[in-house]
Amino acid sequence: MHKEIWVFAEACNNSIERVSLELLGEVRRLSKNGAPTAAVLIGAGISPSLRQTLSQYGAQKIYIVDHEKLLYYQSEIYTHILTQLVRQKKPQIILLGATPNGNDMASRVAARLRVGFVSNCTDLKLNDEGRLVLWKAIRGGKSQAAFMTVGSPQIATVCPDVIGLEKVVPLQTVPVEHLDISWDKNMEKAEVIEFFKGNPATIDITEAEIIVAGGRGVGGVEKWPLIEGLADVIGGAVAGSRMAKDLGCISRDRLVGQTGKNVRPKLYMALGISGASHHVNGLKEAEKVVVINKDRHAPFIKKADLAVIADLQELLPVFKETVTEYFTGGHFSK
Amino acid sequence: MTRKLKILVSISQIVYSEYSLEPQMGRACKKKNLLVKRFNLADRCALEEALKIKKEINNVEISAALLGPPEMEWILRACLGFGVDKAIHFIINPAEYYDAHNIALALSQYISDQGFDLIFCSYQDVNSNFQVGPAGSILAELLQYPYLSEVASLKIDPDNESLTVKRKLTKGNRLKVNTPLPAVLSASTVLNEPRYISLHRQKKPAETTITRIAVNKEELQGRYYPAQLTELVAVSPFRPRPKQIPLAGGSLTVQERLDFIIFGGSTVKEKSRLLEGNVKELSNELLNYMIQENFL
Repeated sequence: MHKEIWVFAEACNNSIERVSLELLGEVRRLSKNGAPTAAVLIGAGISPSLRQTLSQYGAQKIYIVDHEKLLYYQSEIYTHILTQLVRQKKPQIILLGATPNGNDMASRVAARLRVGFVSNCTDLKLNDEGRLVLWKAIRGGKSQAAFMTVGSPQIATVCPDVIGLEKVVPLQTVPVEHLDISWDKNMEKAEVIEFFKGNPATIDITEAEIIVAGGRGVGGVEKWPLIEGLADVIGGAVAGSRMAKDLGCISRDRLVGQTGKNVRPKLYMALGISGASHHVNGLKEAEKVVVINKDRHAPFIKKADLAVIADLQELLPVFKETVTEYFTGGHFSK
Repeated sequence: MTRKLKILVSISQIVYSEYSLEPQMGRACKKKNLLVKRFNLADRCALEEALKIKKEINNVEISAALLGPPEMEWILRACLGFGVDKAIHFIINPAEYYDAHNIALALSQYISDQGFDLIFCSYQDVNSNFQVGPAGSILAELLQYPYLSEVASLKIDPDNESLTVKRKLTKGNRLKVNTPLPAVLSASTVLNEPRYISLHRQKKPAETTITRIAVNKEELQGRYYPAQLTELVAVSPFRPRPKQIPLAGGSLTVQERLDFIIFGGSTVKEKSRLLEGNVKELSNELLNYMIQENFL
């Protein structure tokens, strides 16, 4: 019988990290030879909705370690728990998301088990012998190298957004095993004092998932609250082009482009920005770009995934109202 | 008086692949591929933080350690120029592949002998050619020290016995953690803005000696078996994994279709969707789009 392939499902604020769901889809593909897919969930007060999500994305079994002290990630304790689980269940492969916590835990577990580990992989394949060949970017992302790990289980972390989400499968009941793993008090070396939830309005724009950026077309400082209001409603971070910075609408650290920061949000909304190459260079890695501009010949229009030809002063108040209605459960007709 | 605080900043060797243009008479410039070795930004931030601590607390000694071939010694000279007290060069054969485990093993012996209180060891980085990334956590595991990655801010407690850090997590979240010393940390690039070397400091490196320690793979293997836990199988130009797009779109040109076959996915961005109309319809369309794409 084939040994299991595990995905460590990283949970934060009662939701599973997207990369963990991507990995479940990848494991479904890898385990076509019959190896069962299992998800490992460690946390405090794990809700049934998380289990449902994992099963919908392909987990055939879920291992849960639920303890009040596991609310936030603590390197030593989480490492101990996963190591104990591995020793008990003996999986063949463990995949984790290449997040700060994922990389931290994977490397420590690998070191403790004296097995190999490859971080930040961009692709993975199974060879004829059932060993993982793991690709990762090197030399500033211009080359890539393939690695294989020594020992069992094979452990790797995979970069977010390189695989993409698989289609969800119909909701089904999957076996859930609750495990009780104890740890020594001495392991609690590092003590978590506080968790700070990132406020989209204040976080660094390089970390933001949604960015609402404005340019000269917004109409200067007097009209800038329109941008801030929209960012507030959709939970985005405010940024801008060089023109917005020169007009005094944004500070230097909110500038996107060649003389500012390179960003890689999931959604970049460019409002009243023409799309000069100096600006566009800073958002090459944005997943989706929405441009709102009244000039249909602006260069940004061609580069956008969705381009809206409209006057910002007219559209933004109505759009903000529509989104607010959507969130408050008001009537919305498609 | 508080006890002396010994800080080690471990620097990783970073290799970038860059192009240089050679001007040619009457012809287009010739493109030449170069491998450029650089000082890792996260390590520069770690060094800067160590220097800041030294400025705030009097009794601090900073050492910089580099594991790399002899030609990388300029990085240690630069560190001395920044104000580091000691420099240690772990010399390796550039032809050999060293994984994170090898690096952690090579450093662990020296660290336990010298008794450092705070060790900065670099974090995962796509620019490393030796897969240096997780060396910090492996080092912590070998030394049985606490380890905190992605440090975004740091404060040493007044007694020099513990420190409080804020870790950078995903989506702008932060986690404030207190840990006793000794500890291993990996700095994130948001920790601070690294400084440049002042002119008068540039003379200092010539007067300071660098401790050189030869690293032998067989010796590491003898001390800890297996010393190397990953194998380098192949190196090739970067080819991104195609996203899961099952079929080539009908609108693609012949060239784009060929690219699709070669890369196994769409290499060109789909054409923009253009929306025009009255404001109410547009805002509804925009909202629909954001819901479909899971942004709301």
